[in-house]
Amino acid sequence: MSQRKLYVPQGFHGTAQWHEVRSLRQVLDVAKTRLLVVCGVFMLVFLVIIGRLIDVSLLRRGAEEGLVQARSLHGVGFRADIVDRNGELLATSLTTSSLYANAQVVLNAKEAAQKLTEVLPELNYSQILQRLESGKVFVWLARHLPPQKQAEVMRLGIPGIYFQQDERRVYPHGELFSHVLGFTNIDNQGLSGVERKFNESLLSKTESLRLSLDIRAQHVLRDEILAGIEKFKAQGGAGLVMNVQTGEVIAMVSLPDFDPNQVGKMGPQKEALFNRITLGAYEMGSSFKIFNTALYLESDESNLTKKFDVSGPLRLGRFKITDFHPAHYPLTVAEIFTESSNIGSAKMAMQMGSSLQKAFFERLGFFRPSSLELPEVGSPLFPKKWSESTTITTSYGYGISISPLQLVTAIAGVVNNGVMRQPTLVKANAFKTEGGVRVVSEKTSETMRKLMYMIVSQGRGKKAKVKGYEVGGKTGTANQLSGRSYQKGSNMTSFVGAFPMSRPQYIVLIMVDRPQAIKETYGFNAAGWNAAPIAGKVIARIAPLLHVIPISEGKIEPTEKSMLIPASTSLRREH
Amino acid sequence: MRRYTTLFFFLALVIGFVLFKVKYEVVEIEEKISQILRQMKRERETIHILKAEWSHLNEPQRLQKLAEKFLDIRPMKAEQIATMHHNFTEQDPFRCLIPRAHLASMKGEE
Repeated sequence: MSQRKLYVPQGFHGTAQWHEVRSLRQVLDVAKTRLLVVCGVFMLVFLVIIGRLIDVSLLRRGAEEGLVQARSLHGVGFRADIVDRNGELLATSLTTSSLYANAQVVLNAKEAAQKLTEVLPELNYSQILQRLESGKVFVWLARHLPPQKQAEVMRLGIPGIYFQQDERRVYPHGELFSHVLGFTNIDNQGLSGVERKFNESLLSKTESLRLSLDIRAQHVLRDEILAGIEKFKAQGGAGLVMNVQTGEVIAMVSLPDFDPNQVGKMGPQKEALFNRITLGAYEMGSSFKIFNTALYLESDESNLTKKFDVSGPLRLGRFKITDFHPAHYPLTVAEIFTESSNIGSAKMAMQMGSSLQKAFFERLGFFRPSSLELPEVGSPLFPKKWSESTTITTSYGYGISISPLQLVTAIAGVVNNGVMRQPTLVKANAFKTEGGVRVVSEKTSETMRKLMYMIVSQGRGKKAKVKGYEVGGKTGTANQLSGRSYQKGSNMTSFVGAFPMSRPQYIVLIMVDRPQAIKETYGFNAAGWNAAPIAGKVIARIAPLLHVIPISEGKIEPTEKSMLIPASTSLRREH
Repeated sequence: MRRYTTLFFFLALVIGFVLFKVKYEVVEIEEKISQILRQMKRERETIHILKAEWSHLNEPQRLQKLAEKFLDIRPMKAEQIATMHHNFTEQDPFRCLIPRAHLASMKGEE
């Protein structure tokens, strides 16, 4: 190699500096090294890519599916479904399209309005025209259009009108669940009932809301009460079926009712919106004798045979308390209950005293509204000062007004071995069994159950008897208040029955508003003639549905004969 | 030396071609996926509507009327229900294995 000097530029300086290198070989070596380095870098990059390729294609097969799942669209409405305890659909949201317009973009408002009213005849031409000429950026034209109508409107090709995905609440079963479910407004906000109470969770969660109601029992209850209203020419009625062991409401009916799909078009029938079971405050009448007797037995169990003189009417100020069928000999506590004696109950209450009675009512929850999950829960009415007259009248159910729901909850507590559960509309978790309040002892509960069983098997509740299901209960006839005095002749009859009495599972309430005396009831309209038979029919139909196993009658021993008045064959047994 | 150069040159060309082909195939598949997802959404909505309609057709009042009209069935009476009093806690004569939990629940049935 010659000793020629090779000038190789080194770097990018302002003035090129020419360095001397030794030989060509060195230059080539440097170039080769650089080439190798660049090659190496490229190889590395390619290795990484090949590695990733193998990784994605061979090692991680199908991992991409996770991504797909997350991207998949739900396609269902934004408001969750409501189902009954068995999963039957009660309320759901269907996707609809709502038509709106941007009035600033619309070219010919008159022509657009003309075309729209042709395709959608239910629209008002002048109203649509006004909206299209308003100049607003967003005006609703028509809400909740079915897909057919949507296609037709699209075909019109009017500029400035657009569709927005909307959803509409639909109740497949119409009036069957009106008060309990409630309804929503056009923007899917709950206005009443469960729809309102659970509004937030229905809008946020995707799983359906499972209620404790059973559609089959609900139907039976409504069907029988409707038949009863027609038969006894009544003004209305109400019913409730509850599970005494869990407090779950199985069925709740208030008549007259309404179709929640048509609430917008209801107008003057506002009376139908009133839920008698939860909002109504009534003086329950003789049903309160259950509590009076139970409290009396709490203090001393042997009290069942204690006698009271009920021969003469009780005088209280300007009022006279009488019995429907005054007995002319002293009645035992048991007989006071089965014969439904007002005088006897009053005397028992006077002996107990007002503080004991008041404390008991407090424990039964009569001084505060029910805790049921509905916004339409009424507050009870009771006197602030608990005078002697209050003690006397509340012993047979007057002077204090509670809702039918509160009455049933309390009686359920008495028959459920003395443990009262809070009523609930949500299906209970099968494993949660605590959370009840003890209102009476187990012994008292057993005695009360026997007494109530007597009323149905031999007493005034005979028409509620259903063979094999050990029905026990109490009739009640309450007068309705009209101003400060009672409305004469107008009454509301009720029957509360639980079954099977040896180990109660369910409790049924039937209320009939102003039933008439008809030929079949021999001119009587007391509870034993109308409310009790309706309850019997309901129990006969729902017991198999609710898996209540029939028990051969006779497992509950009736209390000894010596304590009872021998059953009279007279037809004039009422109350 | 020249041979290797031409070889790698053609190799690069081929790989480039394959790369673009694969890329376009992926784009096609992605398009198909979104189409199928849209179809699924529509089907789900249809199912939802059908569920509501099915529930409506199962209205108990309607079924009751139909049953009364076309079927001979009547409401069940208590007399028609019988219970099976089999003592499962004894030696199992049928040689079937009954889980312990079930035995426990059978005891409470009475």
